[in-house]
Amino acid sequence: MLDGIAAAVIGLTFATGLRSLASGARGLLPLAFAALTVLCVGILRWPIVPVILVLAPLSIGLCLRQARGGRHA
Amino acid sequence: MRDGGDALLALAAVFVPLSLVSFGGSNAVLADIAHQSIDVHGWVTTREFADFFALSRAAPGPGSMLVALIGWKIAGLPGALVATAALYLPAAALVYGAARLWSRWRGSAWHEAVERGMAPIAAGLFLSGGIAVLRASPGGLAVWLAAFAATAVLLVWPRLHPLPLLAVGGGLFGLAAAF
Repeated sequence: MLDGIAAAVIGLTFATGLRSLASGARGLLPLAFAALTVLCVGILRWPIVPVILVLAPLSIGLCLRQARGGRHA
Repeated sequence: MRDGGDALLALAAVFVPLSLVSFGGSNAVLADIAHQSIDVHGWVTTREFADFFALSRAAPGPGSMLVALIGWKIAGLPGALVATAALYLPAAALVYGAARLWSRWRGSAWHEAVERGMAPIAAGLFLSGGIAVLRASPGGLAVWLAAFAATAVLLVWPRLHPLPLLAVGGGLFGLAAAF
């Protein structure tokens, strides 16, 4: 019975993740970062802290550059 | 139960760093909670992890009751308290500090870049958490299929309350186990 509950909660987690991708990660770059995160953490099982310390500044930096580029253009 | 002090230190050493990167809640660091407590430290078996996970989400209260159950198993009540505090307090302190800076920067390019840049990573962490629990689950193929079915149901009917889904999932697996 607990396996069934766990499955439903995992479904809830997946649905939340997918929905926030659809709303907050439009475009190729955000999708690439989401995919990289899944690859490193979900598939390769690398520890989360170093993965975030590398990916977060990259992602934020690129967003910042994009925003500034857009403003100058 | 192991030597109390060592176990408490180990719990804090694992959960404090995770607390500081739990963007979007404890679900974001679910993958590491599973990996660390099952594979790295051997605090729980895959069976126990799957059961603790289900219990912590089915019971009322915060979802991170998961780490309280893990802490309880290896060090009793102090373990439960240390694990919960380790996952909550650092994040709370960080959010408190950040919130003050954050409102000062509202509208700046920085503010927007951080929000936009972190969103896909948080989403990726959620998906990784689901994958990690599925991989750790000893329930096999049936659990994978049920999880994907639940995902599809929730994507098609986003406003469905999760409780009936939990009940259906639990009921179906309960029936399957009875026959």
